[in-house]
Amino acid sequence: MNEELKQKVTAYLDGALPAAEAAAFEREIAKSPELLAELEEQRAVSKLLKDLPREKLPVGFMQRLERRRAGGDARPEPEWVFLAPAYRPFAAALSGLIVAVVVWDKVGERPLPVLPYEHAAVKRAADAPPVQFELAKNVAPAAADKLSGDLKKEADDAGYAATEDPGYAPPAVELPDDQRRQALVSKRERARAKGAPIGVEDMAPGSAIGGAGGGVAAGAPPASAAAEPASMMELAAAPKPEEGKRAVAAVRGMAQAPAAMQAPAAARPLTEEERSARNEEMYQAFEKEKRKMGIAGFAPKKDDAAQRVLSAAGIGTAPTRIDSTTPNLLGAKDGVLPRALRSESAFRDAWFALKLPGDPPAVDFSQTMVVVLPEPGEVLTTKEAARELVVSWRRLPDAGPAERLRPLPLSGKSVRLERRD
Amino acid sequence: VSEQEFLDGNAELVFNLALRLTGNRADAEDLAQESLIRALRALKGFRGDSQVSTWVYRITVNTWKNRVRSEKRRAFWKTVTLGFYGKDEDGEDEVRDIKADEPPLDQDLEKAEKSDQVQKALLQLEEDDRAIVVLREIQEKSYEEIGAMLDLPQGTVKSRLFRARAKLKDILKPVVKAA
Repeated sequence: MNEELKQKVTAYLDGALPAAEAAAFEREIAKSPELLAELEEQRAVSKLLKDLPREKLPVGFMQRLERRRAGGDARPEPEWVFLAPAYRPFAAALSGLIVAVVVWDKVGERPLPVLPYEHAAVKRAADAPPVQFELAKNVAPAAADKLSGDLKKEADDAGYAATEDPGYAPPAVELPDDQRRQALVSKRERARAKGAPIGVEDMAPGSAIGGAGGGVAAGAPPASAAAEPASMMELAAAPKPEEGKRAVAAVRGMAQAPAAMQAPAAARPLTEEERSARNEEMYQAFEKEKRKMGIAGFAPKKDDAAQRVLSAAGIGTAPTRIDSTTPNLLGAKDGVLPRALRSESAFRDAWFALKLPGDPPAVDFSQTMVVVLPEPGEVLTTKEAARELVVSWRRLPDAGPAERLRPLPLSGKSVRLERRD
Repeated sequence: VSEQEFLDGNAELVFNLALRLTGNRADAEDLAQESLIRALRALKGFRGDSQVSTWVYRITVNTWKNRVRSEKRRAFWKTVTLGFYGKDEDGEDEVRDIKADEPPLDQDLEKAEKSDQVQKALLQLEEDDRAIVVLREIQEKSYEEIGAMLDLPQGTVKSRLFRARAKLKDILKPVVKAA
Protein backbone atom coordinates (compact mmCIF):
# COMPACT_ATOMS: atom_id res chain seq x y z
CA MET A 1 0.00 0.00 0.00
CA ASN A 2 1.35 3.34 -0.99
CA GLU A 3 1.73 6.33 1.30
CA GLU A 4 -1.01 8.24 -0.48
CA LEU A 5 -3.64 5.65 0.44
CA LYS A 6 -2.43 5.50 4.03
CA GLN A 7 -2.73 9.28 4.29
CA LYS A 8 -6.22 9.02 2.87
CA VAL A 9 -7.08 6.50 5.60
CA THR A 10 -5.81 8.98 8.20
CA ALA A 11 -7.89 11.81 6.69
CA TYR A 12 -10.96 9.54 6.56
CA LEU A 13 -10.54 8.66 10.23
CA ASP A 14 -10.22 12.36 11.13
CA GLY A 15 -13.30 13.22 9.06
CA ALA A 16 -11.22 15.52 6.94
CA LEU A 17 -12.47 14.16 3.61
CA PRO A 18 -15.37 15.85 1.84
CA ALA A 19 -18.61 13.91 2.17
CA ALA A 20 -18.68 12.64 -1.45
CA GLU A 21 -15.02 11.62 -1.34
CA ALA A 22 -15.54 9.94 2.03
CA ALA A 23 -18.46 7.88 0.63
CA ALA A 24 -16.42 6.83 -2.39
CA PHE A 25 -13.49 5.87 -0.12
CA GLU A 26 -15.79 3.78 2.09
CA ARG A 27 -16.80 1.76 -0.96
CA GLU A 28 -13.15 1.33 -1.88
CA ILE A 29 -12.33 0.15 1.65
CA ALA A 30 -15.09 -2.41 1.57
CA LYS A 31 -13.59 -3.95 -1.55
CA SER A 32 -10.00 -3.96 -0.22
CA PRO A 33 -9.07 -6.03 2.88
CA GLU A 34 -5.67 -4.36 2.90
CA LEU A 35 -7.24 -0.92 3.16
CA LEU A 36 -9.60 -2.23 5.80
CA ALA A 37 -6.70 -3.62 7.86
CA GLU A 38 -4.89 -0.32 7.69
CA LEU A 39 -8.02 1.50 8.75
CA GLU A 40 -8.52 -0.86 11.71
CA GLU A 41 -4.91 -0.49 12.85
CA GLN A 42 -5.08 3.27 12.72
CA ARG A 43 -8.40 3.31 14.47
CA ALA A 44 -7.03 1.06 17.22
CA VAL A 45 -4.09 3.34 17.82
CA SER A 46 -6.38 6.32 17.83
CA LYS A 47 -8.60 4.58 20.32
CA LEU A 48 -5.69 3.82 22.58
CA LEU A 49 -4.84 7.53 22.62
CA LYS A 50 -8.43 8.58 23.13
CA ASP A 51 -8.79 6.05 25.96
CA LEU A 52 -6.03 7.70 27.92
CA PRO A 53 -7.78 8.65 31.15
CA ARG A 54 -8.70 12.21 31.82
CA GLU A 55 -7.03 13.12 35.04
CA LYS A 56 -8.52 15.25 37.74
CA LEU A 57 -6.57 18.23 38.94
CA PRO A 58 -4.18 17.26 41.71
CA VAL A 59 -5.26 18.14 45.22
CA GLY A 60 -4.26 21.68 46.08
CA PHE A 61 -3.53 22.56 42.49
CA MET A 62 -5.58 25.76 42.55
CA GLN A 63 -4.14 26.88 45.91
CA ARG A 64 -0.63 26.35 44.67
CA LEU A 65 -1.51 28.16 41.50
CA GLU A 66 -2.85 31.15 43.45
CA ARG A 67 0.20 31.16 45.73
CA ARG A 68 2.54 31.06 42.81
CA ARG A 69 0.59 33.72 41.03
CA ALA A 70 0.58 35.98 44.10
CA GLY A 71 4.39 35.63 44.27
CA GLY A 72 4.58 36.95 40.74
CA ASP A 73 6.27 33.77 39.74
CA ALA A 74 5.24 32.10 36.55
CA ARG A 75 7.92 29.47 37.03
CA PRO A 76 9.93 28.28 40.02
CA GLU A 77 13.60 29.11 40.34
CA PRO A 78 15.62 27.18 37.81
CA GLU A 79 17.63 24.32 39.22
CA TRP A 80 20.94 25.60 37.98
CA VAL A 81 20.97 28.47 40.49
CA PHE A 82 23.02 26.83 43.22
CA LEU A 83 23.96 29.86 45.27
CA ALA A 84 21.72 30.53 48.24
CA PRO A 85 20.07 33.96 48.09
CA ALA A 86 21.82 35.00 51.31
CA TYR A 87 25.19 34.68 49.61
CA ARG A 88 24.31 36.47 46.42
CA PRO A 89 25.22 39.98 47.64
CA PHE A 90 28.68 38.71 48.56
CA ALA A 91 29.03 37.04 45.19
CA ALA A 92 28.00 40.25 43.47
CA ALA A 93 30.47 42.26 45.55
CA LEU A 94 33.25 39.80 44.80
CA SER A 95 32.48 39.90 41.10
CA GLY A 96 32.54 43.69 41.17
CA LEU A 97 35.86 43.65 42.97
CA ILE A 98 37.39 41.30 40.42
CA VAL A 99 36.14 43.44 37.57
CA ALA A 100 37.52 46.55 39.26
CA VAL A 101 40.93 44.94 39.75
CA VAL A 102 41.07 43.81 36.14
CA VAL A 103 40.03 47.23 34.87
CA TRP A 104 42.49 48.96 37.17
CA ASP A 105 45.24 46.63 36.06
CA LYS A 106 44.51 47.28 32.42
CA VAL A 107 44.36 51.02 32.90
CA GLY A 108 47.50 51.00 35.02
CA GLU A 109 49.43 49.16 32.38
CA ARG A 110 48.80 51.75 29.75
CA PRO A 111 52.19 53.18 28.76
CA LEU A 112 52.73 56.89 28.94
CA PRO A 113 52.77 58.57 25.56
CA VAL A 114 56.23 59.20 24.20
CA LEU A 115 56.47 62.67 22.77
CA PRO A 116 58.53 63.07 19.64
CA TYR A 117 61.22 65.16 21.27
CA GLU A 118 61.53 62.70 24.17
CA HIS A 119 61.98 59.89 21.73
CA ALA A 120 64.66 61.86 19.95
CA ALA A 121 66.44 62.62 23.20
CA VAL A 122 66.54 58.97 24.14
CA LYS A 123 67.91 58.06 20.77
CA ARG A 124 70.63 60.70 21.00
CA ALA A 125 71.73 59.51 24.39
CA ALA A 126 71.79 55.92 23.26
CA ASP A 127 73.79 56.67 20.14
CA ALA A 128 76.19 59.06 21.74
CA PRO A 129 79.65 57.70 22.43
CA PRO A 130 80.36 57.31 26.11
CA VAL A 131 83.03 59.96 25.88
CA GLN A 132 82.91 61.06 29.45
CA PHE A 133 83.22 57.56 30.76
CA GLU A 134 85.90 56.71 28.31
CA LEU A 135 87.92 59.78 29.11
CA ALA A 136 87.60 59.53 32.81
CA LYS A 137 87.77 55.78 33.16
CA ASN A 138 89.22 54.23 30.04
CA VAL A 139 91.86 56.75 29.16
CA ALA A 140 92.56 58.45 32.40
CA PRO A 141 91.09 56.30 35.12
CA ALA A 142 94.18 54.46 36.20
CA ALA A 143 96.08 57.68 36.13
CA ALA A 144 93.22 59.58 37.61
CA ASP A 145 93.28 57.33 40.59
CA LYS A 146 96.82 58.32 41.22
CA LEU A 147 96.66 61.93 40.21
CA SER A 148 95.84 64.83 42.38
CA GLY A 149 92.28 66.04 42.57
CA ASP A 150 92.98 68.89 40.17
CA LEU A 151 94.35 66.64 37.53
CA LYS A 152 91.40 64.31 37.75
CA LYS A 153 89.03 67.23 37.59
CA GLU A 154 90.76 68.44 34.48
CA ALA A 155 90.34 65.08 32.81
CA ASP A 156 86.74 64.93 33.80
CA ASP A 157 86.15 68.46 32.60
CA ALA A 158 87.67 67.55 29.30
CA GLY A 159 85.39 64.58 29.04
CA TYR A 160 82.36 66.60 29.94
CA ALA A 161 83.24 69.36 27.54
CA ALA A 162 83.72 66.84 24.77
CA THR A 163 80.25 65.48 25.27
CA GLU A 164 78.80 68.95 24.99
CA ASP A 165 80.75 70.17 22.01
CA PRO A 166 82.25 67.77 19.51
CA GLY A 167 84.59 70.51 18.32
CA TYR A 168 85.88 71.23 21.76
CA ALA A 169 89.42 70.16 22.42
CA PRO A 170 90.44 69.42 25.99
CA PRO A 171 93.88 70.59 26.97
CA ALA A 172 96.61 68.00 27.00
CA VAL A 173 97.93 67.36 30.45
CA GLU A 174 101.51 66.63 31.26
CA LEU A 175 102.03 63.92 33.80
CA PRO A 176 104.85 63.50 36.20
CA ASP A 177 107.13 60.64 35.22
CA ASP A 178 105.97 58.11 37.82
CA GLN A 179 102.29 58.88 37.22
CA ARG A 180 102.80 58.74 33.48
CA ARG A 181 104.40 55.37 33.87
CA GLN A 182 101.49 54.13 35.90
CA ALA A 183 99.02 55.48 33.38
CA LEU A 184 100.87 53.86 30.50
CA VAL A 185 101.07 50.53 32.24
CA SER A 186 97.38 50.62 32.92
CA LYS A 187 96.66 51.68 29.38
CA ARG A 188 98.89 48.92 28.04
CA GLU A 189 97.09 46.37 30.13
CA ARG A 190 93.74 47.56 28.92
CA ALA A 191 94.83 47.60 25.34
CA ARG A 192 96.27 44.12 25.63
CA ALA A 193 93.01 42.94 27.05
CA LYS A 194 91.27 44.38 24.00
CA GLY A 195 93.82 42.91 21.62
CA ALA A 196 95.21 46.22 20.41
CA PRO A 197 98.98 46.49 19.77
CA ILE A 198 100.99 48.85 21.89
CA GLY A 199 103.90 50.62 20.28
CA VAL A 200 107.15 51.37 21.98
CA GLU A 201 106.49 55.05 21.45
CA ASP A 202 103.88 54.74 24.17
CA MET A 203 106.74 54.85 26.56
CA ALA A 204 108.15 58.01 25.09
CA PRO A 205 108.35 60.96 27.45
CA GLY A 206 105.73 63.59 27.14
CA SER A 207 102.74 61.27 26.99
CA ALA A 208 99.61 63.08 27.87
CA ILE A 209 96.00 62.52 28.60
CA GLY A 210 93.84 63.78 25.83
CA GLY A 211 90.27 63.52 24.74
CA ALA A 212 88.15 63.56 21.66
CA GLY A 213 89.46 66.13 19.31
CA GLY A 214 92.71 66.32 21.23
CA GLY A 215 94.59 66.99 18.02
CA VAL A 216 92.72 70.21 17.60
CA ALA A 217 93.74 71.28 21.04
CA ALA A 218 97.38 70.85 20.14
CA GLY A 219 97.02 72.69 16.89
CA ALA A 220 97.22 69.58 14.79
CA PRO A 221 94.47 68.15 12.62
CA PRO A 222 92.76 64.94 13.75
CA ALA A 223 94.42 61.87 12.36
CA SER A 224 93.19 58.35 11.95
CA ALA A 225 94.87 55.37 13.48
CA ALA A 226 95.90 54.11 10.07
CA ALA A 227 97.77 57.32 9.30
CA GLU A 228 99.48 57.41 12.63
CA PRO A 229 103.11 56.70 11.62
CA ALA A 230 103.31 59.54 9.12
CA SER A 231 101.49 61.92 11.39
CA MET A 232 103.76 61.02 14.25
CA MET A 233 106.80 61.83 12.25
CA GLU A 234 105.40 65.16 11.21
CA LEU A 235 104.25 66.11 14.62
CA ALA A 236 107.41 65.03 16.27
CA ALA A 237 109.33 67.18 13.87
CA ALA A 238 107.31 70.27 14.68
CA PRO A 239 109.29 73.48 15.18
CA LYS A 240 108.32 73.69 18.83
CA PRO A 241 109.30 70.41 20.52
CA GLU A 242 106.87 70.74 23.41
CA GLU A 243 103.90 71.34 21.15
CA GLY A 244 105.02 68.51 18.93
CA LYS A 245 105.17 66.13 21.86
CA ARG A 246 101.74 67.16 22.98
CA ALA A 247 100.34 66.75 19.53
CA VAL A 248 101.87 63.29 19.21
CA ALA A 249 100.50 62.39 22.57
CA ALA A 250 97.11 63.72 21.65
CA VAL A 251 97.03 61.77 18.39
CA ARG A 252 98.20 58.65 20.20
CA GLY A 253 95.51 59.21 22.74
CA MET A 254 93.00 59.12 19.95
CA ALA A 255 94.57 56.05 18.45
CA GLN A 256 94.48 54.27 21.75
CA ALA A 257 91.05 55.52 22.66
CA PRO A 258 88.04 53.40 21.92
CA ALA A 259 86.57 53.65 18.47
CA ALA A 260 83.52 55.27 19.93
CA MET A 261 85.62 58.28 20.84
CA GLN A 262 87.27 58.65 17.46
CA ALA A 263 84.19 58.52 15.31
CA PRO A 264 80.93 59.08 17.09
CA ALA A 265 78.99 58.11 13.98
CA ALA A 266 80.59 54.66 14.06
CA ALA A 267 80.28 54.24 17.80
CA ARG A 268 79.87 50.68 18.93
CA PRO A 269 78.18 49.65 22.16
CA LEU A 270 80.40 48.23 24.86
CA THR A 271 80.32 44.51 25.27
CA GLU A 272 79.09 43.07 28.50
CA GLU A 273 82.61 42.25 29.64
CA GLU A 274 83.86 45.75 28.84
CA ARG A 275 80.99 47.33 30.61
CA SER A 276 81.50 45.11 33.62
CA ALA A 277 85.22 45.88 33.74
CA ARG A 278 84.52 49.58 33.44
CA ASN A 279 81.99 49.47 36.23
CA GLU A 280 84.32 47.50 38.45
CA GLU A 281 87.07 50.07 37.80
CA MET A 282 84.72 52.88 38.63
CA TYR A 283 83.63 51.13 41.78
CA GLN A 284 87.17 50.55 42.96
CA ALA A 285 88.08 54.18 42.28
CA PHE A 286 85.03 55.30 44.18
CA GLU A 287 85.88 53.09 47.13
CA LYS A 288 89.42 54.42 47.11
CA GLU A 289 88.15 57.97 47.19
CA LYS A 290 85.90 57.12 50.08
CA ARG A 291 88.82 55.72 52.00
CA LYS A 292 90.83 58.85 51.33
CA MET A 293 87.98 60.99 52.59
CA GLY A 294 87.50 58.85 55.67
CA ILE A 295 83.87 58.06 54.90
CA ALA A 296 82.57 55.38 57.23
CA GLY A 297 81.38 52.20 55.69
CA PHE A 298 84.34 51.32 53.59
CA ALA A 299 86.23 49.68 56.47
CA PRO A 300 86.35 45.93 56.19
CA LYS A 301 84.26 43.98 58.58
CA LYS A 302 85.78 42.92 61.84
CA ASP A 303 85.42 39.27 61.02
CA ASP A 304 87.17 39.82 57.72
CA ALA A 305 90.12 41.34 59.50
CA ALA A 306 90.26 38.46 61.91
CA GLN A 307 90.06 36.03 59.01
CA ARG A 308 92.96 37.72 57.29
CA VAL A 309 95.07 37.61 60.44
CA LEU A 310 94.34 33.99 61.07
CA SER A 311 94.80 33.03 57.46
CA ALA A 312 98.19 34.70 57.44
CA ALA A 313 99.08 32.65 60.48
CA GLY A 314 97.98 29.51 58.68
CA ILE A 315 95.37 28.80 61.29
CA GLY A 316 92.42 28.51 58.93
CA THR A 317 88.82 29.22 59.74
CA ALA A 318 88.18 32.35 61.69
CA PRO A 319 86.69 32.05 65.16
CA THR A 320 82.97 32.26 65.15
CA ARG A 321 83.04 35.23 67.44
CA ILE A 322 85.78 37.70 68.40
CA ASP A 323 85.39 39.05 71.87
CA SER A 324 85.93 42.74 72.34
CA THR A 325 88.18 42.03 75.27
CA THR A 326 90.53 39.99 73.14
CA PRO A 327 93.76 41.95 73.06
CA ASN A 328 96.20 42.22 70.22
CA LEU A 329 94.01 40.36 67.77
CA LEU A 330 93.87 42.94 65.02
CA GLY A 331 97.18 44.46 65.87
CA ALA A 332 99.24 41.31 66.16
CA LYS A 333 102.32 41.98 64.06
CA ASP A 334 103.46 38.40 63.91
CA GLY A 335 100.13 37.37 62.45
CA VAL A 336 99.24 34.88 65.17
CA LEU A 337 96.62 34.68 67.84
CA PRO A 338 96.91 37.05 70.76
CA ARG A 339 99.80 36.12 72.96
CA ALA A 340 97.72 36.10 76.10
CA LEU A 341 94.11 35.10 76.52
CA ARG A 342 92.48 36.64 79.53
CA SER A 343 88.84 35.76 79.10
CA GLU A 344 86.84 32.62 78.59
CA SER A 345 85.45 33.84 75.30
CA ALA A 346 88.89 34.65 73.91
CA PHE A 347 90.10 31.27 75.07
CA ARG A 348 87.11 29.58 73.41
CA ASP A 349 87.71 31.44 70.14
CA ALA A 350 91.34 30.45 70.14
CA TRP A 351 90.43 26.86 70.91
CA PHE A 352 88.20 26.65 67.88
CA ALA A 353 90.61 28.63 65.74
CA LEU A 354 93.24 26.01 66.45
CA LYS A 355 90.66 23.38 65.47
CA LEU A 356 91.12 21.56 68.73
CA PRO A 357 88.65 18.80 69.41
CA GLY A 358 85.80 19.08 71.85
CA ASP A 359 85.09 21.97 74.15
CA PRO A 360 87.85 23.99 75.74
CA PRO A 361 88.70 23.01 79.34
CA ALA A 362 87.50 25.14 82.20
CA VAL A 363 89.94 27.88 83.16
CA ASP A 364 89.60 30.27 86.06
CA PHE A 365 90.37 33.55 84.31
CA SER A 366 90.15 35.46 87.55
CA GLN A 367 93.48 33.85 88.50
CA THR A 368 94.83 32.56 85.23
CA MET A 369 95.60 33.62 81.70
CA VAL A 370 96.53 31.44 78.76
CA VAL A 371 99.60 32.14 76.64
CA VAL A 372 99.46 31.20 72.99
CA LEU A 373 102.74 29.89 71.68
CA PRO A 374 103.56 30.15 67.96
CA GLU A 375 104.17 26.41 67.92
CA PRO A 376 103.44 23.54 70.28
CA GLY A 377 105.90 23.85 73.10
CA GLU A 378 106.42 24.41 76.80
CA VAL A 379 106.99 27.47 78.95
CA LEU A 380 110.41 27.53 80.49
CA THR A 381 110.45 30.73 82.56
CA THR A 382 108.50 33.93 83.04
CA LYS A 383 110.07 37.25 83.88
CA GLU A 384 108.24 40.44 84.67
CA ALA A 385 109.73 43.55 83.15
CA ALA A 386 108.52 47.11 83.66
CA ARG A 387 105.83 47.00 80.96
CA GLU A 388 105.74 43.41 79.82
CA LEU A 389 105.91 39.84 80.87
CA VAL A 390 108.71 38.00 79.11
CA VAL A 391 107.88 34.34 78.59
CA SER A 392 110.67 32.03 77.45
CA TRP A 393 109.58 28.84 75.80
CA ARG A 394 110.83 26.03 73.64
CA ARG A 395 109.30 24.00 70.87
CA LEU A 396 108.17 20.43 71.44
CA PRO A 397 108.38 18.62 68.09
CA ASP A 398 106.01 15.79 68.96
CA ALA A 399 103.37 17.86 70.73
CA GLY A 400 99.94 18.56 69.29
CA PRO A 401 98.36 21.94 68.62
CA ALA A 402 96.77 21.90 72.07
CA GLU A 403 100.25 22.39 73.45
CA ARG A 404 100.27 25.89 71.98
CA LEU A 405 97.99 26.98 74.79
CA ARG A 406 99.81 27.29 78.10
CA PRO A 407 98.23 28.57 81.36
CA LEU A 408 100.10 31.13 83.39
CA PRO A 409 99.23 33.22 86.46
CA LEU A 410 97.17 36.23 85.45
CA SER A 411 99.11 39.31 84.52
CA GLY A 412 97.86 42.57 83.12
CA LYS A 413 101.08 43.30 81.25
CA SER A 414 101.57 42.54 77.61
CA VAL A 415 103.35 39.32 76.88
CA ARG A 416 106.60 38.94 74.96
CA LEU A 417 107.66 35.48 73.90
CA GLU A 418 111.29 34.45 73.73
CA ARG A 419 112.06 31.18 72.10
CA ARG A 420 114.79 29.04 73.64
CA ASP A 421 115.47 25.97 71.55
CA VAL B 1 -14.68 35.85 30.83
CA SER B 2 -13.69 36.29 34.43
CA GLU B 3 -10.54 34.74 35.76
CA GLN B 4 -12.45 32.27 37.90
CA GLU B 5 -14.64 31.19 34.98
CA PHE B 6 -11.58 30.81 32.86
CA LEU B 7 -9.88 28.62 35.45
CA ASP B 8 -12.97 26.54 36.12
CA GLY B 9 -13.43 25.80 32.45
CA ASN B 10 -9.83 25.26 31.37
CA ALA B 11 -7.57 24.30 34.27
CA GLU B 12 -8.31 20.58 34.00
CA LEU B 13 -8.04 20.59 30.20
CA VAL B 14 -4.69 22.34 30.42
CA PHE B 15 -3.48 19.93 33.10
CA ASN B 16 -4.43 16.88 30.99
CA LEU B 17 -2.79 18.32 27.92
CA ALA B 18 0.29 19.02 29.98
CA LEU B 19 0.18 15.51 31.39
CA ARG B 20 0.20 13.92 27.93
CA LEU B 21 2.91 16.23 26.72
CA THR B 22 5.23 15.82 29.69
CA GLY B 23 4.38 12.28 30.73
CA ASN B 24 4.38 12.81 34.52
CA ARG B 25 2.17 14.60 37.01
CA ALA B 26 4.82 16.76 38.64
CA ASP B 27 6.02 18.29 35.41
CA ALA B 28 2.42 18.44 34.20
CA GLU B 29 1.34 20.48 37.21
CA ASP B 30 4.29 22.82 36.84
CA LEU B 31 3.61 23.30 33.15
CA ALA B 32 -0.11 23.71 33.64
CA GLN B 33 0.34 26.32 36.36
CA GLU B 34 2.83 28.33 34.38
CA SER B 35 0.59 28.18 31.29
CA LEU B 36 -2.46 29.23 33.24
CA ILE B 37 -0.61 32.14 34.89
CA ARG B 38 0.55 33.33 31.48
CA ALA B 39 -2.97 32.97 30.13
CA LEU B 40 -4.44 34.90 33.06
CA ARG B 41 -1.98 37.72 32.50
CA ALA B 42 -3.02 37.92 28.85
CA LEU B 43 -6.69 37.26 29.43
CA LYS B 44 -7.69 40.91 29.26
CA GLY B 45 -6.13 41.19 25.83
CA PHE B 46 -7.89 38.08 24.49
CA ARG B 47 -10.03 39.22 21.54
CA GLY B 48 -12.14 36.09 21.11
CA ASP B 49 -10.89 35.28 17.60
CA SER B 50 -10.83 31.62 18.56
CA GLN B 51 -12.21 29.46 21.30
CA VAL B 52 -10.72 30.12 24.72
CA SER B 53 -9.68 26.49 24.94
CA THR B 54 -7.82 26.73 21.65
CA TRP B 55 -6.10 29.90 22.80
CA VAL B 56 -5.01 28.45 26.15
CA TYR B 57 -3.92 25.19 24.46
CA ARG B 58 -1.69 27.25 22.21
CA ILE B 59 -0.17 28.99 25.23
CA THR B 60 0.37 25.62 26.90
CA VAL B 61 2.00 24.02 23.87
CA ASN B 62 4.29 27.02 23.32
CA THR B 63 5.28 27.10 26.98
CA TRP B 64 6.01 23.39 26.85
CA LYS B 65 8.11 23.71 23.68
CA ASN B 66 10.15 26.49 25.28
CA ARG B 67 10.67 24.30 28.30
CA VAL B 68 11.76 21.37 26.17
CA ARG B 69 14.39 23.53 24.53
CA SER B 70 15.79 24.73 27.84
CA GLU B 71 15.50 21.22 29.31
CA LYS B 72 17.64 19.89 26.51
CA ARG B 73 20.31 22.42 27.36
CA ARG B 74 20.04 21.57 31.04
CA ALA B 75 20.05 17.87 30.28
CA PHE B 76 23.42 18.27 28.65
CA TRP B 77 24.88 19.78 31.78
CA LYS B 78 23.13 17.25 33.97
CA THR B 79 24.66 14.44 31.96
CA VAL B 80 28.09 15.93 32.47
CA THR B 81 27.49 16.32 36.16
CA LEU B 82 26.16 12.80 36.63
CA GLY B 83 29.12 11.38 34.79
CA PHE B 84 31.36 13.39 37.04
CA TYR B 85 29.78 12.00 40.17
CA GLY B 86 31.05 8.53 39.55
CA LYS B 87 30.57 5.01 38.30
CA ASP B 88 28.26 2.25 39.31
CA GLU B 89 29.34 -1.26 40.30
CA ASP B 90 29.89 -2.27 36.68
CA GLY B 91 32.11 0.71 36.02
CA GLU B 92 29.45 2.41 33.98
CA ASP B 93 28.47 6.01 34.48
CA GLU B 94 25.77 6.26 37.08
CA VAL B 95 22.43 7.03 35.50
CA ARG B 96 19.95 8.64 37.80
CA ASP B 97 16.29 8.81 37.07
CA ILE B 98 15.47 12.47 37.09
CA LYS B 99 11.77 11.86 36.80
CA ALA B 100 9.73 12.18 39.94
CA ASP B 101 8.27 9.05 41.41
CA GLU B 102 4.52 9.06 40.96
CA PRO B 103 1.59 6.80 41.39
CA PRO B 104 0.14 5.06 38.30
CA LEU B 105 -2.23 7.17 36.29
CA ASP B 106 -5.04 4.67 36.78
CA GLN B 107 -6.00 2.47 39.63
CA ASP B 108 -6.95 -0.39 37.34
CA LEU B 109 -3.66 -2.21 36.83
CA GLU B 110 -4.46 -3.47 33.35
CA LYS B 111 -5.68 -0.11 32.25
CA ALA B 112 -2.83 1.58 33.98
CA GLU B 113 -0.32 -0.66 32.23
CA LYS B 114 -1.87 0.04 28.86
CA SER B 115 -1.98 3.76 29.54
CA ASP B 116 1.62 3.67 30.64
CA GLN B 117 2.64 1.96 27.39
CA VAL B 118 0.71 4.50 25.31
CA GLN B 119 2.19 7.37 27.27
CA LYS B 120 5.71 5.97 26.75
CA ALA B 121 4.99 5.63 23.06
CA LEU B 122 3.91 9.25 22.98
CA LEU B 123 7.11 10.31 24.64
CA GLN B 124 9.08 8.66 21.85
CA LEU B 125 7.67 11.09 19.31
CA GLU B 126 9.31 14.35 18.33
CA GLU B 127 7.93 17.24 20.34
CA ASP B 128 5.95 18.78 17.49
CA ASP B 129 4.60 15.40 16.42
CA ARG B 130 3.61 14.59 19.99
CA ALA B 131 1.82 17.88 20.34
CA ILE B 132 -0.07 17.31 17.08
CA VAL B 133 -1.11 13.78 18.08
CA VAL B 134 -2.24 14.86 21.53
CA LEU B 135 -4.15 17.84 20.21
CA ARG B 136 -5.81 15.78 17.53
CA GLU B 137 -6.50 12.45 19.25
CA ILE B 138 -7.00 13.49 22.86
CA GLN B 139 -8.13 17.05 22.66
CA GLU B 140 -9.93 16.40 19.33
CA LYS B 141 -8.82 19.60 17.68
CA SER B 142 -9.16 20.04 13.92
CA TYR B 143 -6.25 20.37 11.51
CA GLU B 144 -7.03 24.04 11.25
CA GLU B 145 -6.98 24.60 14.99
CA ILE B 146 -3.79 22.60 15.39
CA GLY B 147 -2.17 24.59 12.60
CA ALA B 148 -3.22 27.81 14.31
CA MET B 149 -1.90 26.68 17.66
CA LEU B 150 1.47 25.55 16.35
CA ASP B 151 1.83 28.08 13.57
CA LEU B 152 1.94 25.31 10.99
CA PRO B 153 0.15 24.96 7.66
CA GLN B 154 -2.64 22.41 7.57
CA GLY B 155 -0.76 20.28 5.05
CA THR B 156 2.19 20.09 7.44
CA VAL B 157 -0.13 19.18 10.30
CA LYS B 158 -1.66 16.45 8.19
CA SER B 159 1.62 14.96 7.04
CA ARG B 160 3.15 15.12 10.53
CA LEU B 161 0.06 13.55 12.03
CA PHE B 162 0.27 10.72 9.53
CA ARG B 163 3.99 10.24 10.26
CA ALA B 164 3.36 10.25 14.02
CA ARG B 165 0.51 7.76 13.76
CA ALA B 166 2.63 5.45 11.67
CA LYS B 167 5.37 5.54 14.30
CA LEU B 168 2.87 4.99 17.12
CA LYS B 169 1.37 2.06 15.21
CA ASP B 170 4.77 0.42 15.07
CA ILE B 171 5.49 1.09 18.73
CA LEU B 172 2.07 -0.01 19.95
CA LYS B 173 1.66 -3.02 17.63
CA PRO B 174 1.90 -5.53 20.54
CA VAL B 175 -0.67 -3.58 22.50
CA VAL B 176 -3.02 -3.38 19.51
CA LYS B 177 -2.74 -7.12 18.86
CA ALA B 178 -3.39 -7.91 22.51
CA ALA B 179 -6.43 -5.70 22.41
